[in-house]
Amino acid sequence: MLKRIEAFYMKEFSEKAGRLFVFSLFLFIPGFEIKTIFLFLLATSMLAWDVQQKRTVNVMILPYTLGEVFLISWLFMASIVTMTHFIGAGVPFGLFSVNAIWLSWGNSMIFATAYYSIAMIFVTAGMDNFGMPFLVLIGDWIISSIGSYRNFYWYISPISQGNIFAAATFAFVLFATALYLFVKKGATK
Amino acid sequence: MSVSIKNMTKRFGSKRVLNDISMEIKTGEIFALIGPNGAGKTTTLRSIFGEIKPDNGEISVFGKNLSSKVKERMSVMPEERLTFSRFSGEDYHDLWSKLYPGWDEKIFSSFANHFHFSLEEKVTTYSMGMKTLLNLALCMSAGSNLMLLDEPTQNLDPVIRSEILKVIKNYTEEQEDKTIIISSHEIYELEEIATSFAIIKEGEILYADTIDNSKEKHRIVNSGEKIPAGDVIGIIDNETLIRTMEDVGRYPNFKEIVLGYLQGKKEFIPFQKKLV
Repeated sequence: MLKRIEAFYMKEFSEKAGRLFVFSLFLFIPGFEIKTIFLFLLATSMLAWDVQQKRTVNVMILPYTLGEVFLISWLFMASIVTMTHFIGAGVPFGLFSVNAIWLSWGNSMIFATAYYSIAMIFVTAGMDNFGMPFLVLIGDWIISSIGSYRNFYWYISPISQGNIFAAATFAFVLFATALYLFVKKGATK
Repeated sequence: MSVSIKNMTKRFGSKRVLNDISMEIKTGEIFALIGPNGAGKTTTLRSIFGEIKPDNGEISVFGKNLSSKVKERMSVMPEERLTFSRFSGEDYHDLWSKLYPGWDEKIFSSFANHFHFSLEEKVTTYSMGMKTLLNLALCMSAGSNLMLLDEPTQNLDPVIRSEILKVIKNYTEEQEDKTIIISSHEIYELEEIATSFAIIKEGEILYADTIDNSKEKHRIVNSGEKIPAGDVIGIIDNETLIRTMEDVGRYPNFKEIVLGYLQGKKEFIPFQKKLV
């Protein structure tokens, strides 16, 4: 399995080098709110972009199953988010408390996982990897900003994350749904 | 049995691409999937290596459901050859040798030397023929038991084409437990190397058999000759292909069988001599 992960990372680093470099620069910003849009761009340009561009064939001819490709691609994104977050947080160390750094990492992971899954659900349904998730992002922002704690969605929203455990559960449900659909239907483009 | 497909159906939106396809490919065969563009050949291959999932039906490879362990024994040359835009030949070599436990460096080196691969260059700068050769070299070196080749001789010049056909034939003849599935339009080439075949059109299998059996089960009769009992399959230039065991007319060649099934009873004759 480690070899398969290593080979996939090698392919991703080589193929998406330019984008990863640009996004990573902004992902070094430790605060979750400021880097939200770059997390969104990163999440939608992972496997969902490959499916949209019909580029999955050259991975799927190799010894990977659909489920592995989905999980390893997410793992790759999680590695980028984690590395840039902690390196970024390390630079101005002292300005942020350790708890705040971990919390902000949790927020970033929940948001990136939710939008990775949303983008995958759309491409598996034959739609695009960016436009529809972007509309969801706008909807998410509008709905979660109404009424705060009086609004149930505010607790689970990937943007507002009113309750981090509820938001993590919601992100996990999206992730499991996207994985199920992708494994069931394959790369439909 | 290397591959077994039972009642496979696949739709893309409202378009039905595969319609209740069933076939069995035995170990040691070179199996040709023949059909016009859009017949469903590539979709069948994509389903076998697991890029897409059929809506209905079952596929098993080496008697098992597809898993990464099973796929380690399978190598694939897809229709779109090696499309990682920043990969050099060396990168592809590293990637494949890492992923296939049965990787044979000697085979890859002999391909690289013989066809003069520029391994340090990006593969996007290769000609289509060279990409095909590199992809084939990777497949052959992977040590797989099942090879899926989509149009393997496309874009190759005639000399290399004939060389590659010999290599493909040699792959199953000289080694045990090796099976190849080829999707192609090239009927003459397929007759040279294939042992069995399926004719596919509009997502349906019209006929599947070994090449030798198919010749025995069909006859060609001239117009005016007595039509024997059996199924009239198609018309090829003034002659009729009939599926029968009666000893009439003559045995067809492989090309006539394929054309007979694909063309059916319709003939296209746009230019005819005018009678004065």
